[in-house]
Amino acid sequence: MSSLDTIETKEQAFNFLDRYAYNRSEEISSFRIKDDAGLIKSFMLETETEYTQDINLLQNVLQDDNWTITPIENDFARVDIAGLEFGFVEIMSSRHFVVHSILKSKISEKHINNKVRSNSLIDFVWLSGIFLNQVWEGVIKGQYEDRFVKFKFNHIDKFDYGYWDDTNTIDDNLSENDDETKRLEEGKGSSFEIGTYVFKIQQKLQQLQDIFPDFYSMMMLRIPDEERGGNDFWSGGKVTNRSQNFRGLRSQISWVLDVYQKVTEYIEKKVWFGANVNDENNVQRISLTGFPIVFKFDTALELPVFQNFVSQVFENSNKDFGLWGNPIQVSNSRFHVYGLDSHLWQKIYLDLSLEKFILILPQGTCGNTVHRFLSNIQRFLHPKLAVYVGDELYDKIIINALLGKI
Amino acid sequence: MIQSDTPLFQLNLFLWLVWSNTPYEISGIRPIFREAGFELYSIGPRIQLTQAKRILAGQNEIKINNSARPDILMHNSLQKLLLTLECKLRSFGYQSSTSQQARVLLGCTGEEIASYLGIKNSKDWISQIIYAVTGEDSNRMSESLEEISEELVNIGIETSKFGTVGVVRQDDGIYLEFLSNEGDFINPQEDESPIQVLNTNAQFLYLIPLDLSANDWFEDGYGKRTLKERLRVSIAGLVLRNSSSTNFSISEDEIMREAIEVWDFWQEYDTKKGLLGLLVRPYLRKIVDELGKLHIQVEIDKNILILQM
Repeated sequence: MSSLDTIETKEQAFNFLDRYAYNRSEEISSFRIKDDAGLIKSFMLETETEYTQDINLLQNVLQDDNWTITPIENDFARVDIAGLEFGFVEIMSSRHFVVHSILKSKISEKHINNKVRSNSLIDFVWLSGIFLNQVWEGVIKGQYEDRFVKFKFNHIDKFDYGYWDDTNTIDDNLSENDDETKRLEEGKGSSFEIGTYVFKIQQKLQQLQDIFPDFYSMMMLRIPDEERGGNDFWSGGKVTNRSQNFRGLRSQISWVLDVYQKVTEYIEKKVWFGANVNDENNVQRISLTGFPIVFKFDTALELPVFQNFVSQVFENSNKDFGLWGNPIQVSNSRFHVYGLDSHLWQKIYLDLSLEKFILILPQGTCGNTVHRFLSNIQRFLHPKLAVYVGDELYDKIIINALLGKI
Repeated sequence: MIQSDTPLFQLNLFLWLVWSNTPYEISGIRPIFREAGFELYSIGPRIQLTQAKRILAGQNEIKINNSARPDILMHNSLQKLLLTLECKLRSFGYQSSTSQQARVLLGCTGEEIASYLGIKNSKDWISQIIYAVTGEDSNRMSESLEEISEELVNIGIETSKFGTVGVVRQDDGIYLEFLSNEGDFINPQEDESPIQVLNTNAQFLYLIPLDLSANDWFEDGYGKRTLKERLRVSIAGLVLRNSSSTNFSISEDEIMREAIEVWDFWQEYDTKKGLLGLLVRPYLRKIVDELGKLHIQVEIDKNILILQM
């Protein structure tokens, strides 16, 4: 194991990680990869702006009995977890930070999962199937025609009647394990992997999605590096480095986070529900801000699946969705929830029916909730749906952010 | 839980019809007012009759209030149209006490409302008032409005254009039936009437769970349940957001602000106080008992909850 404690600057850390990425890549090419060596994984995480101003503030959020954060620069620190040299943490934007780890997925994901699920100030970055699909459609198809691309699609019918059993949960890590292959149990869903050249698949993926909607549940997309290889962006915010350098990985993360943040803030600005008061001319004027967000399924959910979803997600606080509430049954196939999002414990209002879910996001509730809700719906409930942010398609907002229009 | 016919239900229905901008085929709620170019101007604004009109009404011994607070005021800046909407559920007679409020609303022209509210170029504005009632009450409501309007016109008070909208339930959802004075433009969708505005009879989400001006807060079962859920969630959110502190306090106003987005802006202080005493405090006490079972000590001191974790 390397000795990260000799690293004194961010630049030295980048040099170390660049070398590490190159060495791992060479080992993979020559089939000499060591058992204890993991690829670089970067975990994109979200928190409140007040903790991203300085690494010491973020340290207060992350540090606990297991996690030791040793600041190196004002936006960069070393991370040790339970005596293990875990990697580094870096503040990347006003609401995002990234933990870079060189440990294998099995270990690194466990620690990241535990941290996020035990700390309401932190959430994953949730790249929904729709988000990844737009990156593919809007960027990769047009710019990397001769490059190799890889996708993973994964849909699990988690709420099928009789399926739910806590003793038999599927792998609910941020992503499938990179270092092992875990077999899905029969009848519980579908999983596909495609690795090919962009020009070969660019006309075909849409056809696959038309034939089999589970292809909308894109769980991983490899974004080609500018030189060789690429980086695997997983729906739960993990990025696995499969190129020969770290700086290229970091540059892609920075770009994806920038787009993600723009989309999140655009959604918040547009939909936040609250009262707006104007006291001009000594006449009080009370208005309402925001718009609803509608998740419209291409086909109606089956009633038992829907009922199971409502019960598991809200009454039993399913950890993937991170929502809590006491559903009000307004008809046999319709529920209302005036509930809380366990990330920051802010409010959400939901109208749930077989054909659509209507979400109202009260002022102050993090826009990340929308990405998380959608990602988990696509993966565990229904892969094909249209999301309207007010009168605008969520897909369109992502494309606009990718093209720098918002 | 089927929708209740209550003023709160109507208030929320019409708020959705001007607030939402999601297409009907997606949301199942057709925002007919927004589609026609209207935006929400204010909920419960105060509208006042001009001094001259008040004197005129007084001289003619006509019973009329000085001011009124209609439920919703919308505006269409292209048409320079102010649309006042009052959710009444049932029609009322020409002699009823409610007619005194109606005389204010009918007796204000667009120019007068715009001028009172400080809207630029007030002379350019026209106004319409719509009374929302259940479908079967629409004709009776219309007749009463005709009588009130005629009475005002007869003494020289210029009135606003007016009409009614009947909220009609069908098996496949909710329809609105507009009924207006001859030549008056009331229906935002012009020729289409009745207009389907909801594609289901199932309850929709309430944007505001309480109508302060309603006579009976508990009449709307769904509204009451919603308010309780919102209170529960508001307290839970406030407690959980403070969970890193060993002791902290939450005021009643903080809870109410969390539960009802417009709480701070309602100026009916006595009514708010009544509501707190009648509905909120007994429910808060129940929640406090629940918190005690979770080993969170709570003391209540002058409407402030002091919690020790």
